[in-house]
Amino acid sequence: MLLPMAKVQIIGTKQYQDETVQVLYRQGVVQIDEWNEKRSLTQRRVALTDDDTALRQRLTYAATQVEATLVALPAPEGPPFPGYEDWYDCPLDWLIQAVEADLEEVGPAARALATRRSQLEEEASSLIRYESAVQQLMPLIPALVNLERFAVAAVWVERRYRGALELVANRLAELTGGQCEVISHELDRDIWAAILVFPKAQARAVNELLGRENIAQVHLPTELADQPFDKAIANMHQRLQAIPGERGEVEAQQETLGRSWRPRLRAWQLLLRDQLARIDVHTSFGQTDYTFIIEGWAPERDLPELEAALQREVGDALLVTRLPLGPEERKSAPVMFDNPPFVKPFEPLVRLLALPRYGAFDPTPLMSIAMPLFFGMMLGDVAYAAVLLGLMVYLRRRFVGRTTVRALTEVLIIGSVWGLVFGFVYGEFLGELGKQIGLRPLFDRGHEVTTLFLIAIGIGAGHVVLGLSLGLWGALHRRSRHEILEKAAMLIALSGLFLLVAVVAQLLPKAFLTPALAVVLVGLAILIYSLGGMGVLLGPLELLGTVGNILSYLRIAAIGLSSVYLARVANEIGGTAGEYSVLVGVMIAALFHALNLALGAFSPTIHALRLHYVEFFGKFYEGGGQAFHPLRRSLARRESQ
Amino acid sequence: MEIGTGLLAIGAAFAVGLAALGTGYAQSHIGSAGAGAIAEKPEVSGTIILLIAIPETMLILGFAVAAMIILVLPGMAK
Repeated sequence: MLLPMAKVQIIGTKQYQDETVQVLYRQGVVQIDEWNEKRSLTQRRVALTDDDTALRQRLTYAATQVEATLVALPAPEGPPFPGYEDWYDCPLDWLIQAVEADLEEVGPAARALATRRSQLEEEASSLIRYESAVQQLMPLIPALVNLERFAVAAVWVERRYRGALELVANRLAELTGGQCEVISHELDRDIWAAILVFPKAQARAVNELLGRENIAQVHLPTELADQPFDKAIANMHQRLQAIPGERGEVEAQQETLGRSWRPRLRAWQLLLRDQLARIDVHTSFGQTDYTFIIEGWAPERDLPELEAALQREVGDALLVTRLPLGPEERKSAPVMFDNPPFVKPFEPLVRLLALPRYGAFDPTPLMSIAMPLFFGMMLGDVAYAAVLLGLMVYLRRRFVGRTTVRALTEVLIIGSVWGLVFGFVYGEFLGELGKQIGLRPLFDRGHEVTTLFLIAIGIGAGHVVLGLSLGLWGALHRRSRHEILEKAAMLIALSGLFLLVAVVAQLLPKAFLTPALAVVLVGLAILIYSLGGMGVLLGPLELLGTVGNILSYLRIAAIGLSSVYLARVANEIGGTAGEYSVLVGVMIAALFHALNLALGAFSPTIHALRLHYVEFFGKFYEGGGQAFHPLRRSLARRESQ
Repeated sequence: MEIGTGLLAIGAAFAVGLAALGTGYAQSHIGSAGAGAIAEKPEVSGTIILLIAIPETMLILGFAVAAMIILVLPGMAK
């Protein structure tokens, strides 16, 4: 469900403004709205004082320095150092001084290591480039060039610009008085290379000439520049072999430094960001000459505690009022989920589509029941479900700090448990091997395909009718006549269709045929009326679409059957290969089963999601809500998570 | 195997095969456009997954028709 929100207004004299903000930060339950200046002529937005602006600049500088040092210390992310929460209540000067002292200690070493690492990375990438270029140019270099007096420049141009090489040769001859050599050669279909040999004294002029003509030079690294090319290549090889070792040493030093400093720097980073936000939030307040006005949102359940904390720590100087919620306020109210722990992992999946609008129905609890059930029905194999369960339990432990991954693994854990249950129901273990190891199916989906289809369609009918009923409930709640008519008409028409199917399937006597048809026609007529001018066209289409939605649940059967058949293929191919070599047979079967398992984890997830997003949510869901972002301390927030 | 059984199998293969081709064609276009949209606005990922999954109904219905051809038609013929 979504938490009921209250719009609150806090008015106080300006001398208590800072204290009030401190309390709001500590309580962490109020989201501040931006002050609307157009609302009143006598009330205006609070502006930062010169002192606050100066303090803000110092904090920003310190935060930037901390973030730069964190970037220079790449290491696995861990939680920030505990015990730093007390710094929230210390003077900001102390905080900045403590941060600066730490930065002085760790900053130079961190920067030196980062610089060395990037130098080594650059050197390695440039040497690889030089090496291939020089290898290709080697045959062009005159063997007896005296490199003490002459410089050698290697250049290359695209084939279509090779005329530029002739131009450069002429200009070089003019510059050096003929004391030069230019040898050009086709490197490949697109590139022409040339070696320019000229007196060292003319090096600058030649560089300028090449720059003007926009010709790319292959520069040797400085330390290799004076060496003959064959020696340079040998030295490049040596360096390329040595660089990974040197880089490894630097990375190890970075990791050691990171392990001891990152948690502390992360704590500083969060503290500084929070303090900056604490200064900035003042500009969201309104003010008169002597008072400040804060407006925002708080969960209804937290209001009494907030009022008590403000009373206790600031006193009677504050007036806390709960503002009435009109239709406009309800539109801008933020949204916060409040679900039991087993439903929480499904919240990111609902959020992935869109946050529900404030006041709308939160489908997360229903999704937490139906989605793993659909997943389990599709997977339905003891072996696959057990492997997936083990894998997800491992991943959940491995990615403790990553909320989204953790939520997804929890969803798949619940789905895998259902997969185990349905595995026993279907009697499947790596497909039909289950029967050979003694599993007795309560329902054999591999052979009772028609029944499986009917079950899937039945589930679809139930789910879609539930969605339409929720839509009708929402429409009644909003008192939207047109929506009430539309949803009710659809439910009536569907009821008639279900009756018709029951008559055709001889579950009901033929006498029900005419009443069933009448119910369908009445439902369709109301639907056409509710849709207005285009209703004659849209009404039947809508009904057809809803029937399509119900049939779409056939995928629960189809995905499951494809998994059964693929497992059967794996066993049969493995068995055939096993007649020649048991090991090869087992390997082939394992390969196919691994593929089936990967598909078995992916496909049911996507299809169960799709059934919810399109077929179910489409009937009632109202998205477009804004997330609740209260003013809150980051360190406290991490701990509470 | 009777010729009728073979024709039923061919019919079922067409039902699911053509539906798969149609679904693949639709998904290729939605997928490439969706990848571009996600690159610009990662927050639309949910909508794009949904859009990519929509044409799969065609394949599921093709599969259902194929299953009906194999399971129901032989019984009706008798």
